[in-house]
Amino acid sequence: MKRLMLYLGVRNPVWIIPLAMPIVLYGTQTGDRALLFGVVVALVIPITHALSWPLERVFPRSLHLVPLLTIAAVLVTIAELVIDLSGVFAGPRTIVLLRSLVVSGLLLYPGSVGPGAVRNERFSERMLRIGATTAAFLVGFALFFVIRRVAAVPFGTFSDTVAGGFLILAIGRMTVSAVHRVRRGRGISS
Amino acid sequence: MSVIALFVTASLAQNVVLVHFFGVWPYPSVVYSPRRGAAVAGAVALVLVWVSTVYGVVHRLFLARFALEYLETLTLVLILLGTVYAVVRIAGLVAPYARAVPARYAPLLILNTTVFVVAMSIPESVERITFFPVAALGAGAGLFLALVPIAAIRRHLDRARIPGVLRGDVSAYIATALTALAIQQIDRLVLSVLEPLW
Repeated sequence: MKRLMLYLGVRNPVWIIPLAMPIVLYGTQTGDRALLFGVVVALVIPITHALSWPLERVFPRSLHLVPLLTIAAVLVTIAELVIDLSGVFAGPRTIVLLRSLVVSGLLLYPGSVGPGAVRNERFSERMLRIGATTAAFLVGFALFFVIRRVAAVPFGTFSDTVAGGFLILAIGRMTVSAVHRVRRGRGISS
Repeated sequence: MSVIALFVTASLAQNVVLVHFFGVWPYPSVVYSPRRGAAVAGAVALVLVWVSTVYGVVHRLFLARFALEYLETLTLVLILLGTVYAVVRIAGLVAPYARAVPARYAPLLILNTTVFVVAMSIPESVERITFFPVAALGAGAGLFLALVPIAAIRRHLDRARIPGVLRGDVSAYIATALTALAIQQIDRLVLSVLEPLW
């Protein structure tokens, strides 16, 4: 629970550590896309790390990204085939960004290259970190989507542009930092 | 399709940071200073040209010809991994005492969404194989054109007398928003001279 709160707050993968900015900025433009990316992230990321954990023990240390990336590529390919077979028209850019989940930091960061990545960690420990990161991403993603839709009322299509997205991210980042500072008793601004 | 139109389209009209934001990782630290932004843009551009060309050729000659498009993601991942680990290995042989440097930056290059997305888009957007490196170089130039001004604006904001809450990552986001607005206007200017290809 403490770990989940940490990832929801000061390590949030949307507001604080921008690991999957392309997906956040593109996926929140419409409700359909938000749902699609939310479901795929929630399924693909924990499964990738669960399958990759035993294989990482087999590969040498310098090749630790190989099993993770390969499994992620296979899972995203399967997700893509499922979307195709279910008759959902996703569009070329959606598919390309879905594929980019394979290499996005969100997918790989917690287990492999991020600060706090622990070598030879236990399976339960790894899955706890991945679960917390994924849950925090989904919460941040949903919040970003709601803010963007609300901002679209006064600002129109501007909120869907890259500039609009970054301004929302800046405001969100400031809010999280201010809340963190207040909680630590240091006031809003230094 | 002229080379100039292709280059301008890839670098400005379809800018990988300011129009689409395919993203470089880790973004706020990449735009920490203009020098670092230029170095990362140069390194990513080099990888981009090589990976896009190899992937484009494999895609055109094998995947598209034998209807194996569903293997695109896996193919690109294998090319990316093979390239980066080959570079690390060669660097280790050529300069054994400096081999830690490429090994440290290998994940950064592998995990860059820009490399992945641009390489994947090029075979569908560009008609001739010989133009693949030009399109990739254009995307790399677009990365440079975005990262260096953003880093300069960020540095300026960090040194200005502004509230503390606006410094750090927030200044990077504000700098990106400002540069993205600027490129929209530059795009309109270019559009009056040259029609983008896609």
